[in-house]
Amino acid sequence: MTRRTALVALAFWTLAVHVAMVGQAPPALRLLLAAPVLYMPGRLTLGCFNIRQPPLDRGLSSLLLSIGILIMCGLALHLAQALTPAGWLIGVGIVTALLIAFGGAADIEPPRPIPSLQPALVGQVVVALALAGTAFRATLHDARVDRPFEVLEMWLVKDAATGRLQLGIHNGESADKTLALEIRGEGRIVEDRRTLTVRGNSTMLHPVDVVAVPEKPEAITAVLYAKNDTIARRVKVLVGAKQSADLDSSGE
Amino acid sequence: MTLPSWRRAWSAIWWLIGRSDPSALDAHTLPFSWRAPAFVLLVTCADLNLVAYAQGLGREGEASSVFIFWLSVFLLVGPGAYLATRPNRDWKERLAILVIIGQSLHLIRFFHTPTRFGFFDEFLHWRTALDILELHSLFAFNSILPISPLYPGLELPTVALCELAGISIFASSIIIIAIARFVSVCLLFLIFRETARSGRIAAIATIVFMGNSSFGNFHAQYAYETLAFVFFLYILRLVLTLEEADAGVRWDNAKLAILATPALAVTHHLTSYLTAAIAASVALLYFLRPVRGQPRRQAGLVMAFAFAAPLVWAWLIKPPTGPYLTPLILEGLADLGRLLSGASGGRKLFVASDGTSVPLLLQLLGMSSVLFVAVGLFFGFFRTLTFDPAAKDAGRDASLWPWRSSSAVALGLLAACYPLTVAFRLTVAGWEIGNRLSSFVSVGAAFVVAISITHFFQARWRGRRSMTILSVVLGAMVVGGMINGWGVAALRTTYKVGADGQSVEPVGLAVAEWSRRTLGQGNRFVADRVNGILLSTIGRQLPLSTLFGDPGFAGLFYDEKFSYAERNIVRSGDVDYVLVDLRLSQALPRVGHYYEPGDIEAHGDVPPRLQDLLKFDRAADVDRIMDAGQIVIYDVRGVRSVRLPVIDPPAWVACRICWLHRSRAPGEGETP
Repeated sequence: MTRRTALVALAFWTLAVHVAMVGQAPPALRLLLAAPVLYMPGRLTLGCFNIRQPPLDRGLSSLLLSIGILIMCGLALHLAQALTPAGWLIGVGIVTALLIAFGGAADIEPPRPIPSLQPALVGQVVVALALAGTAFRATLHDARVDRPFEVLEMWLVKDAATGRLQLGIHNGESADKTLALEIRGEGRIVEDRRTLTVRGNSTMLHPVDVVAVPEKPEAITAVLYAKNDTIARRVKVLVGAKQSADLDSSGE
Repeated sequence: MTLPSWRRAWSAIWWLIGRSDPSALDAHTLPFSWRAPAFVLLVTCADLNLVAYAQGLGREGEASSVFIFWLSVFLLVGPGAYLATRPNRDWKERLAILVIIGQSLHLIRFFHTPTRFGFFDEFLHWRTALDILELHSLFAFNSILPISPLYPGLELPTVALCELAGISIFASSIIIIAIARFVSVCLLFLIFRETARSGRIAAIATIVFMGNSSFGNFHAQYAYETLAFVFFLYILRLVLTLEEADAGVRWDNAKLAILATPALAVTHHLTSYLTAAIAASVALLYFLRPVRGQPRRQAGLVMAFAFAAPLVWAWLIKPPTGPYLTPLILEGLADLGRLLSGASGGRKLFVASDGTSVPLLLQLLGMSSVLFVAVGLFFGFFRTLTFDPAAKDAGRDASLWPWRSSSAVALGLLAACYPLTVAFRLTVAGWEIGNRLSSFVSVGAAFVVAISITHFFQARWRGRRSMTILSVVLGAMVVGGMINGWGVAALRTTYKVGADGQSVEPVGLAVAEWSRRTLGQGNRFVADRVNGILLSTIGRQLPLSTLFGDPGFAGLFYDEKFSYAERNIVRSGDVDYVLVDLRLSQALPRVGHYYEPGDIEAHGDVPPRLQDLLKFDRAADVDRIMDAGQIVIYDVRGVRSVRLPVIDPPAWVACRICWLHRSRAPGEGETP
């Protein structure tokens, strides 16, 4: 391959990866486009240093040297404060262009044909890949349905922007949940909802109106009851007391 | 004339352990065919369904899953071993089969946790990769493994692929590790083949190597040693083949080795030092061998670079390698000394910290794996030192001085360290050293065992029955090696307390995700080992870690009262939140400890009580801000803010606090 052809091919590759990056192309296509970074820089390095190896050795060297070049490229991008997607593309592009310029592409030949696979063996390989596919599907399914504990979270935190208390409930299960919610202060009920339905795989955010009196801190407790009136989740926050953040900001 | 009796005795011993049979070397005579690799691929892919089935049963807690799983692992290796080690086959055919076996053993790790990272070390490096990806910068602080960001060789190509291909870190890591696995199997095969000049010895040695305790488990994980080990093999091969190559190729090999050393130095500290040491040993052999034409200059140059690269990198980044590794090594050596002197009984083999033991049959397989290697070393060590790949053609006798093949001698000497790694593995403190070193030493041990096997098998036992016996033994060695390295954790089970990958489940993941979304990043958390890694990676928090010098915090969870001592831990550790996993009260952890090394022994070898874990509920100045059923999060910033006489935090805490405030970017809905 001539140097000019290699440089043109590199320019097209860079453009294609950039377009795929910006255009949010499907991951499979982007992976296909990005895959040469795991081989070509190393392959060009071999040419650059005029190192001739048998095909298998050349392949192994190319893979490892490419990984090595990505490592060094990353260090250089860190120094240039450019460890971003664009930085990687430009960095790898520049390194590859340099390797081509220093003669890396001179000895790149078309790949040699590998011993052909007989038709019967092709069928065998296809069956094998189909079998592997079923194994992958089965294991992915098992992993997804493996949920030994119910995912139901409740939280009560002070909203940074408004300073108000915010209650959140997240139902991580696929089925809807019907619960009861009670929010109480000290000696008073702030809110009592006998029926509260939280849809499956959704989060419910609910502001809690409590007036904080600095001189009289009050513990606000929220309790989530399951169907049989057992406590499912319980959270508690002290309002009115100075927290560390308040102390820090007031300089106390 | 009769020989003196000592000469006869020595001849008998030498016949048993040292005499080489040149006819043991195999020359391939049959042309390459895809038939055997395609068949192995078919059997492997069919067997993967059995692996998936066993893992599924394991998740449901079925006892039969253990038998099915280990049988399926054996079936991944056995048929391939049979076909790869047959006499007179083309070496490329053997290599294709070995690559399939190697990748299938990598897939076992994938089938264990197919949708995300699942092992402790993977989380440590995931955090570093996330930092690079999100902060667009290297060397960010990683509290769960502070040394990891200083060796970003694994994470950089992973992140590069993520950024360019738009895939997740997990997907990218699977590709990088699959490449590493492919290259490592090829390199091992080539090292053995070039040293022995026999594809069959190389195939046997490669399968024996797969039986080391790290191959199936640790070197299939996303950890820096996994990639560094491939660079080690690459440099080792280039150095070993200097001997046989002509002058031009020697310089090419030297150039490639020199190019690879910086990448290795940036990837893993220990592997780069070991590579330098082994390169120096091989160079020494070339220098000492009294034969002309030795590649001394090339070997010397590679050795110099192999030493210089890690030293230069260490000088640049000043890693805490000493404080990180020295106690481990010293403690391991002391424990080994105690074991050898009989002062201590050593580690309980095949028993996890929670008392779970490996089934007896599997224990026997594990022990037999080591025993096979030991027997192979006994019969093969001197044969390796006197190994002469050209003996058949040259018609000369084996000799110890001058040795015929420096690469064989180097592998033999490496194999001589194998008993030491086994001894380390018997100790409590040195177990990890033995486990880590075993993969390096096994490169030599595998070659010696293969020499031993072929000496006794090759010339006489070539029939189908003997081949079947050999493949069963090799399959058993690989299964045994996996049991030794992975134990019961290789198979998924129902949730277990403190069992790393087996303890990661949707609630823990959801809580970590919630912490990031609601509390923002970079908060200082106290949590147990498993939730700590989830908080660090998914939550992007800063869990306290005694590894980095944070104050011990296990005491927070072992008392019914939240008194002065506990409050002092919160203040001196500058803790923001405490995560309490109530399930820890149900059982002892399967892996080592709950919170920090030694915590169980320090608290009477019992789990923390539920009332101890829930004591924060009774503290007026602690908010219970989040409840996920099994996991509760407490806000302890109110405790921290109270000005009481406290022990001043050490300088590093102050340093971390500065970093913390710089790195905290308030996110949407964040509660500062």
